[in-house]
Amino acid sequence: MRKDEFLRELQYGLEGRLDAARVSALTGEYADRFEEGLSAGRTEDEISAEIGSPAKLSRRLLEREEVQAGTAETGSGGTGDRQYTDFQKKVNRAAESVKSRVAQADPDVACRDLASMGARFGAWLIDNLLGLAAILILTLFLALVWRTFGSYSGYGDYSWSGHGSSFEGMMHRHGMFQQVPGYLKNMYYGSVPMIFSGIYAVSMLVFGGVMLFSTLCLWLTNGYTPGKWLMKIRVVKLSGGKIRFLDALFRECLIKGIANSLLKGFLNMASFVWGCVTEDHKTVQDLAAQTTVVRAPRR
Amino acid sequence: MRKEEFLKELRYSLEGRLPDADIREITSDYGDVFENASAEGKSEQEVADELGSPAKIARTILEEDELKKRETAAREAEERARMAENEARAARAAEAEARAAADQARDAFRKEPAADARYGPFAGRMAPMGTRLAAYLTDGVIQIALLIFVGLVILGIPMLLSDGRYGYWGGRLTVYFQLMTLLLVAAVGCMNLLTAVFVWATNGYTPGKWLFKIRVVRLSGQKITFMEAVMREFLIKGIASGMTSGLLNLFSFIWGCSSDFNKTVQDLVADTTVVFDERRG
Amino acid sequence: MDAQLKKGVLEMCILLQLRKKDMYGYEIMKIIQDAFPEVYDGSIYTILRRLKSEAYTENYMKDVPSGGPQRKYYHITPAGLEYTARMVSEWERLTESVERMR
Repeated sequence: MRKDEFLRELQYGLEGRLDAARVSALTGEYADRFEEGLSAGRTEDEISAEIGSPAKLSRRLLEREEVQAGTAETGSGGTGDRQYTDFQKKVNRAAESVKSRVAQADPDVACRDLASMGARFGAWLIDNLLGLAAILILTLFLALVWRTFGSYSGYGDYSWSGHGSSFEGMMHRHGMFQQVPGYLKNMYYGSVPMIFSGIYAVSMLVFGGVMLFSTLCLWLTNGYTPGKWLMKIRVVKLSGGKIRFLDALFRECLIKGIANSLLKGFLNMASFVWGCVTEDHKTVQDLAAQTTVVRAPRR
Repeated sequence: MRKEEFLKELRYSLEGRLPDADIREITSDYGDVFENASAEGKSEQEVADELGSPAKIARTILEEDELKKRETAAREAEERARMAENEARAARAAEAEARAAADQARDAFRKEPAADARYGPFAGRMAPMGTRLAAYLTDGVIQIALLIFVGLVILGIPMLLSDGRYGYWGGRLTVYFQLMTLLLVAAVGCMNLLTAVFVWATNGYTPGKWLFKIRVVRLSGQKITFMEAVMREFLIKGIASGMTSGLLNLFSFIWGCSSDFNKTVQDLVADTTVVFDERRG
Repeated sequence: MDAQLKKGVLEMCILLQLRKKDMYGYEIMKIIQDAFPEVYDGSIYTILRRLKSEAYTENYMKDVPSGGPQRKYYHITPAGLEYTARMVSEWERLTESVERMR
């Protein structure tokens, strides 16, 4: 939309709830943003698209002003008839005031068409499942190659006595090895421990591989990964530029990767829950890389 | 402004201040204006300029709504005063009846869900705690079966590939058991997360609940959001319970037996309750 | 002109048009625009909404001859006809008094 349309919508959104001085001050701020953008060569349409929806923006600004004035609005309309006891009502009110003070939505972010946390989770799931599938296919392929070309010629026998001081060696020397039932052999030092170590290694590979792959994807496609493309959402920088390789690396590998490994994934989970609770859906990686995830319907 | 921008601004200015159905109607009406105008050759920008500011339109609508609400509120206050009189008279007459009915209700309580006024719109539909317990146990059985099946598949494929040949992993027994526990914990954690996704996707069902014809509903009647499903199933029933060795689950069940709307701890957190599914009677 | 008066006049005009035949939103808008060019376009739908909520009009969907999505048509109800008749007689009384004073 044009600059005059944007400012007009913003003004109508704020009028009547804030005094005239404050309204013109806030409108002036955004008028300045337009001037800056215009002198940098961007069009009015681009600038208004970057800032987002003036209706949403005016709502967030009002919330912020009201919280600062100490008169936080308690919830939005549309509640049905619920029978709360007084105690529950008090708890609800306390929770709302804490939420509005702590989880203050960033007006810059919250007025965009944000992607739902469900969609973001879905995209994450799809990306990791794809990574898992890729690794599994690779492993199967390698295993088949090994079967065809690798050889275990001296292995099936276990009749040679050079096992040294191990328990197994002793069993061999005393000719008792053959009598241990097969499934026990397997459980102790057969294929089963290998499988579990393998699963652990595979999951590390998947997460690592997905992180690197996502980095490349975000950089090359400017905000998409396969999962995000399927869920019709995309990552955008708050400042409105292209996603550089370092931004993507920072977001995916360093933050998501380090957060995952240092605290056993706890930070990631906590950040997801925090994103669900706040209105601007900011997770740790969003805060660090100054990005957000918005809806991207395919036209 | 383009048509989409106009309609979005209109919607955002009204969201939360008007019922969703009304907002959808208004948005579609103005959308039709754009459609009809474009059929006559007008551009979206022209139509937007003619219609003016969506924020202003929204404000006019809300002001009118406010006016109407005040009028109806005044009318209703009158009605209520009149009805209160009648009710006081009827209440005295019905007192004796109520005493007799209470004795009956006490016997019927165990067999039927309480058709109690305090359950509001869910009167007569509340799922008894016994049924909820049965559904929960059924879900557990299904989850265990699923875990066994998945475990067999995970073990089976490499077994087939390795062809029973032994490798030397002496001394790794502890690693094996550690990984086994890790896998089990991860699997149990995943099951709760999967349950959360299931509840969100089907708006209130789990396999066990579906079998027993009950479902989870929000007290406000809206769809169950993803975050609430995650909080209810994964965070409370999964993690919080895990951290207290299942004691939270037990306490929550006992609490639910005696609380309003049969609300357990997970219901309190997500503001839900469990009722009989109306569609399957 | 007083905003309330204008709103009342627009209401009456819309109902009079609907008395002649059923119309869809955009049609009504264009007719009002021709008759009152200075009227703000956005307010017409608020009037239509109010008329519907007072049950003076009702809606139905009809197919568009040239294809595309169905159109929402407005139809005046018996209560609406009654209301219109009342408004028209008030209007006649009003204009009579004003004319007499001129």
